[in-house]
Amino acid sequence: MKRDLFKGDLPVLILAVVGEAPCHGYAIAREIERRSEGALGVKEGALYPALRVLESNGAIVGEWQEQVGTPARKIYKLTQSGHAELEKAATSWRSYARSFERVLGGSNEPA
Amino acid sequence: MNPLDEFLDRVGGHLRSMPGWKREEELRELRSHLEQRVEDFEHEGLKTEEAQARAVEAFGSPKALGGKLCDAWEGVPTSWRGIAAGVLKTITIWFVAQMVWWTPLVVLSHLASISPYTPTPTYLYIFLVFALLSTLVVSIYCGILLSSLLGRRGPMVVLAAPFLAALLADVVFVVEHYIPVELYVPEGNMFYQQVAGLFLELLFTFPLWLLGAAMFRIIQVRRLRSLPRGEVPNAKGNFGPFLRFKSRKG
Repeated sequence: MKRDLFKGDLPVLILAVVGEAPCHGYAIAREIERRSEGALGVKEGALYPALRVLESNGAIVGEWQEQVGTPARKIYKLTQSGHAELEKAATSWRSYARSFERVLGGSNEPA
Repeated sequence: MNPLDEFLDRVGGHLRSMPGWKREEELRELRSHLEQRVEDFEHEGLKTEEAQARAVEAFGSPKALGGKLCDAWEGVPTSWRGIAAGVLKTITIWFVAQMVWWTPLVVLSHLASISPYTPTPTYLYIFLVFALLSTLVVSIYCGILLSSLLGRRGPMVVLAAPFLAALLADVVFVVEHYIPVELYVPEGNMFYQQVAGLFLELLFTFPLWLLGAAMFRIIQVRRLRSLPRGEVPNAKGNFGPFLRFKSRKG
């Protein structure tokens, strides 16, 4: 079941993808869709503003790379502060997901 | 003009606060993304025109995209919480600044009026002049502050100010009706009247707010557009409350 990302979700996912390996904007969007098996839809219009905010916060840094035969691409990689932010966000999300799972899988206490 | 060029042209038209070199970079990156998307759609069997239309559709409104990219470039808040915080900060400054001048004036006027033998002192008129001048200056400053904190949304928020001011004054009158302070403190309702008066003052001074916000926005956009290659706006120093402008190496 496909679901659009909420506004606050996208920066974390961008950090997760870029944390794995440096890549450009298009590859980030496709990788999020691939990893989520199509469940999470990236709005292209939200991707580049999110990348800019992460760049200005110093979490990622972008660099233009000229390539032979293809247009130049801006490749993003994670900075040290980006790694720290990713760790913090990932821990918070995992804890949230576990709690959600416990409530969904649990049963009410007898009255 | 094909759909990609048309879309990028329209986005470019909304990147108003970016210098030329930055606008080119943004459009270059967007073009690269769109071209790859079109290629993927063509591999899926779509014709070029259809692939281009779908690629552009996935980006949504060029105006919204251009606005968001400018907000990110300027480092201004985009969430409702951030915008509300900026508005609250400005209104607090307005309120405190006005109370500093108008409270003593109201108290002194009241003291002078309750004594039948005391003519109105000259210093009251001096106080009144200072209070009026401060209203003028503070109104323009608050307009500037809103533009500084909220970027392109600053002047838009100012346009909504009269409605907000009238609403707040109404709230104060309603509170006064249900919680009359006069029962506990003689002439206590003077406080409510002063607070409501300040909000109504906001209503009447909103042209000054708008003047400050609009003038500042024009200067701010000019400064942003003239940033040399490699420099980016420093949001913390960028026309903050003390009107400093700093850029930093990107």
